[in-house]
Amino acid sequence: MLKQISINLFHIAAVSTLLCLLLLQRQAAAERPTEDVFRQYKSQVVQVRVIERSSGSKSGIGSGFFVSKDAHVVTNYHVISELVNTPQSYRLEVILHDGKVLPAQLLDLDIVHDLALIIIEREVESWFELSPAQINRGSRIYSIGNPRDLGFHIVEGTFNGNIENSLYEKINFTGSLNPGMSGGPAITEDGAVIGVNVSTHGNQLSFLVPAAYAEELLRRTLARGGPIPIRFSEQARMQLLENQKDYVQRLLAADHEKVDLGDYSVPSSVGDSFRCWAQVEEEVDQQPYKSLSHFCSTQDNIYVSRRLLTGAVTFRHEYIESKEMNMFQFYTLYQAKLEQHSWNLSAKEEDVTSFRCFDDFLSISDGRFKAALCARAYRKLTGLYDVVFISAALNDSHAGLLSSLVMTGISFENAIKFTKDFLGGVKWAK
Amino acid sequence: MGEVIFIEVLDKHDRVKERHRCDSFPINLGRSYTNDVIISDAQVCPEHLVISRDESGILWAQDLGSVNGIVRAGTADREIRVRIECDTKILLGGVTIRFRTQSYKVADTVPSSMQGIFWRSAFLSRRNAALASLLMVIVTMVFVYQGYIETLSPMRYFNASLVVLFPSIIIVLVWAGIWSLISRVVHLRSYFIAHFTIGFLALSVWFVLTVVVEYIRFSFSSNFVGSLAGYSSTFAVVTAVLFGHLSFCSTKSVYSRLAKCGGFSGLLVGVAFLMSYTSGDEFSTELDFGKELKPPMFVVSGSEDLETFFERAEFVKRKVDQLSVE
Repeated sequence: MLKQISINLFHIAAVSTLLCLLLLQRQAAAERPTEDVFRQYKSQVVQVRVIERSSGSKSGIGSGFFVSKDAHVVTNYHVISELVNTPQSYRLEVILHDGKVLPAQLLDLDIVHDLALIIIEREVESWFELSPAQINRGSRIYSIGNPRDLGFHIVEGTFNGNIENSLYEKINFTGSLNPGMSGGPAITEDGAVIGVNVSTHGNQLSFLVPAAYAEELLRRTLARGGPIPIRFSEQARMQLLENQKDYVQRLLAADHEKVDLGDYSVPSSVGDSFRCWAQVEEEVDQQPYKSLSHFCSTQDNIYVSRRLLTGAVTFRHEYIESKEMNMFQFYTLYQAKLEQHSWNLSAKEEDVTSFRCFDDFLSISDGRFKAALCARAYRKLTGLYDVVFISAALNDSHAGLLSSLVMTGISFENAIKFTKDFLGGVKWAK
Repeated sequence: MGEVIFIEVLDKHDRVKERHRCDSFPINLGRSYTNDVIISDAQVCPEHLVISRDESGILWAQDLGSVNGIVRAGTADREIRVRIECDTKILLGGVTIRFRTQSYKVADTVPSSMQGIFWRSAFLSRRNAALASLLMVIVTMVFVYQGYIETLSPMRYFNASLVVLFPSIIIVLVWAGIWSLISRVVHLRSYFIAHFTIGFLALSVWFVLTVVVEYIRFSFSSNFVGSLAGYSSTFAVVTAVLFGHLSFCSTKSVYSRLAKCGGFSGLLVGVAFLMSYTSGDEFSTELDFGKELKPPMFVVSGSEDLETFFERAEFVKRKVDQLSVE
């Protein structure tokens, strides 16, 4: 009996040992690529520092990676934006994986896609080739960078394709990016660059700039053979102007979706660039009214400086109705709602002017509206404006429609074109 | 010069404080009660001077050896004897006296318009003061009612009335008190009821105008029309209030008062306009447009079509371009 038990125990122990060995082998097999990837490619990744000239202290940090033998480094525009906006006060430094510090020079930038190309005075032995790589959604990719100045890290994650409903193309990377990793590469096991680390929304939801834009930036710099011949801030301005022209053309050419709010039919998402939400409120604070809101936004901002984000389009419609309030009560509520629609677009006096507005009664599809158009100009980015259009329907004593459209970093002419197109979609059913 | 003369005791503004008819001579002037004309001033001697007529009928003021003597107005030297003619002024210590004869020709009567008389008498009536107070109460009730019809939260009418009425009463009482003090100084009468009535009327009109201006601003959808209505009504109310109050504490003519009140309120409105204009230069991220919304029945001006609206809105670009280079 005891012998039988001993034999059984021996069998169990043998099988358990075998299983453990199999699991350990499998785990080792799974971990090895990350280790290998980091070991193989860490020398091609650098830390980029923006140094304040008078104190010699670092003002901003990010990551970057070599993309040529001549030590061209791709990083994010937002990492080096201070140098672009106040070149007299800052300089660039690159820290190699072995700790060597080298001065760097800015060559070109792509403000719309948040990219910059810099160079250091030496040749490198290994670099990433920026050639198109096709991978499938769900593929494992690795992001390398220097988070929070803690040294080079590798983060494993998943490629989830391009984000949808956006003005600007970005890759959804399911992995944890942290401040300081911006500008680092996101690569496959084979070292093919998929994108450039750019931002995170937390909870492993991060974004990459597709490598094709970095490739284009390198291509045009190599073709030119040196830095751009104009001030970088002027280059940024021209790119923003060109970008808004391009996306307004796309929006004008795209189909408008429509939604019905009470007695009105109003424009909703335009093409595939907007994300929209709806909200219903009834009996708010025991007040007898109903409110239906429809809100759409491109949700994409272009980073210009720490103080200024631009390049987004947002609009909101709110239908309010009350059969129980008298007309004076209703219009008091309606006016309060209009004041809530008066967006407070925070900005600094160094970047933009105050708003100036024009308001009057406006006739749209046989309906009467109180409408206001407000604009403020960008001080340094000449030719760009933040434009806000707000309207309140005045067709009923107990119901109304409030609409507001906010366009940032757009030419005044394009803002008017898009607003007219937007208003063409407003219909009053009665 | 055998006629009756009048001795007038003047104050420092040359206004008559006392007037004495003298038809027999000699006449003694001084501080003591033995005199014909008693002058209550510490610098005047008990027996200061005597006025007498000589053989040729000429009147003379003779110093009776007083401490401070007599001085002809406009000169600095003491004199023992001063010849008196019509409108002669002499200084007796700290007092000025003037001599006038019956033949002195007084100035023409100042015409007074019926309106001026009406206004003054209307404000002096206690009944009208009560009516003004009643008007104030009615306006307060209208405001409370407006609060009821426009406000969504439940209201306690009595409390709401008190919140408006009590501070108004206190403000008007203080206001009327200050003006009454001025009247007392100038006219030796306070005219409190008149000032109180004017204050209450002004406050009532002011309350009503604030609402009217808001509706005008919306109805014409024009900041210009709204501002014009606001500034012009402020000008009119301030002018009227000041004119009303000054009617009871000024000796100037109607036209002079009107001009001064208009000038002052014009200055006030001008300063307010300048302050509002310069505050527009301060940096702000607020959207500054007419946010008033009233029921459609109050819309007066016509609606623009899309093209005209955006053509007119072009000026916004010019304005912000100009701001960006400043």
